[in-house]
Amino acid sequence: MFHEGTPLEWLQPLLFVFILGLTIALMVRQASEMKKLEQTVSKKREFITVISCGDKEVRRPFKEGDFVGKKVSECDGGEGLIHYIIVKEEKKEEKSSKGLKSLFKI
Amino acid sequence: MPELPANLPDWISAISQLLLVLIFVALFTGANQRLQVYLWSRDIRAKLNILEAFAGEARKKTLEYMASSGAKEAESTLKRLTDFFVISPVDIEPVDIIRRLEHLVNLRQRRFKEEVAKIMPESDDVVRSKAEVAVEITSALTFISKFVRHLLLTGEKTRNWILIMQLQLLMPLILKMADTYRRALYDFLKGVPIGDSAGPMVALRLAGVDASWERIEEETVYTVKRIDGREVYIVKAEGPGSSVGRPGSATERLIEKLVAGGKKPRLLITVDAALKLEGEESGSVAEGVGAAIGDIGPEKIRFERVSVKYGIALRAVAIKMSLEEAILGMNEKIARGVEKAVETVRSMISRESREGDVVVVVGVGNTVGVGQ
Repeated sequence: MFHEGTPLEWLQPLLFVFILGLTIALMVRQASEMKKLEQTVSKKREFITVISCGDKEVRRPFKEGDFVGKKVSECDGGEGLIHYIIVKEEKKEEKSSKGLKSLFKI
Repeated sequence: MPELPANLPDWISAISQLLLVLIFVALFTGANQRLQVYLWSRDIRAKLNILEAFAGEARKKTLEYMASSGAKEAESTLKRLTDFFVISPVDIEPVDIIRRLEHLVNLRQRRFKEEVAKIMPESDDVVRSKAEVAVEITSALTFISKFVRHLLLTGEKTRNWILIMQLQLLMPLILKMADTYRRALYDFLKGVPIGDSAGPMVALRLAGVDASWERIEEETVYTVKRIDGREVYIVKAEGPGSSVGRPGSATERLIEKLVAGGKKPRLLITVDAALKLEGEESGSVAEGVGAAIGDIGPEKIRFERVSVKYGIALRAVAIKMSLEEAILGMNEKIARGVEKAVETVRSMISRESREGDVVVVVGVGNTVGVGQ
């Protein structure tokens, strides 16, 4: 590419190593993406039942048979109503793909 | 004879030049394209394996659920229903196409219901409705993996690199969609409300705790409530099983009944989950005109026809969410959106009708996990 004796001759080995490294990095990245996708298969989500007890709100893990509008006696000494059943929020890492990073995003 | 290069930089230079020559040869013979197609195919194949694993997992989970509910001969029924198809009606002759489409859609739904009821005779409606959805999801995931495999094999067989390239570019989107369906299966089997349940949840909130609901159409119920001096008729699918009911037919029947009794409604409000645009906030609420319903036609047209027939203002309230949020268990943002939508409907009723008027509100969507 850069002929012998040209001012950029020293760049040639560096360029070669860089291209080789980039190819390997991309292959490894692709493999890890696939692994990540396969791992999500076993991930299960949790749900929370929100019970309305007048002015108060009671939250507990979802139980089989719960549904919105069902009357339950889980308020202090009284009956309450299932107000919501919502997904328990998972704490996510904020990932940003900017600049060079976004170039390698699959 | 040329002298062999002795040191490392010379070797690197020689290899680089050789590579350059090879690249030129490849460019002229098209070998580079073949290599690229091979790499794309390999990538698609790896992702296809994941899609097939999703379909297999859904099949296994559905069979487990059916077996735990005492189903007999579940495997053969599931196989039959997974490959079940509907041939769309002739559309070059549009006369009565809606009726024909409705007939086919209802026929398919009835077939699924009857097949599931036959193998699960002792289960209740809620359990059966969950099994029906599980079969639908298994069917969708199986179709996705089969179709991707078909495109890949066709592309390889006909050396259609454009097809393979397009498929490779679409694979992340297809995988995401399939993964959403797979996760939705778990949420449906648990019986928790999904994002699409926002509409029925708004109906339930408006009706209040002690409302008495009456069936008006297959899997669809209604109740009456006085709100700010207006007589408000509220319609939703019958829960807490997984069903969207027949909101269009039910509303049409209800309005015909009301008109016959001298109570012509002034306002017809439809509330449904709507797909948001990227960048829009989940759970935000928007107002509009028309029928808010994500139906392929037969139910939606009934809202339009009945509102035109009697000159009723047809208004829509949409709770915005992504496709993923719409079919997965409800999150807190959507739950807050439900409260906002209830307020929007209340203010719409007081703004656009007078005391003593009759108003119809329809909570459209799947009522899984939402009772009445």
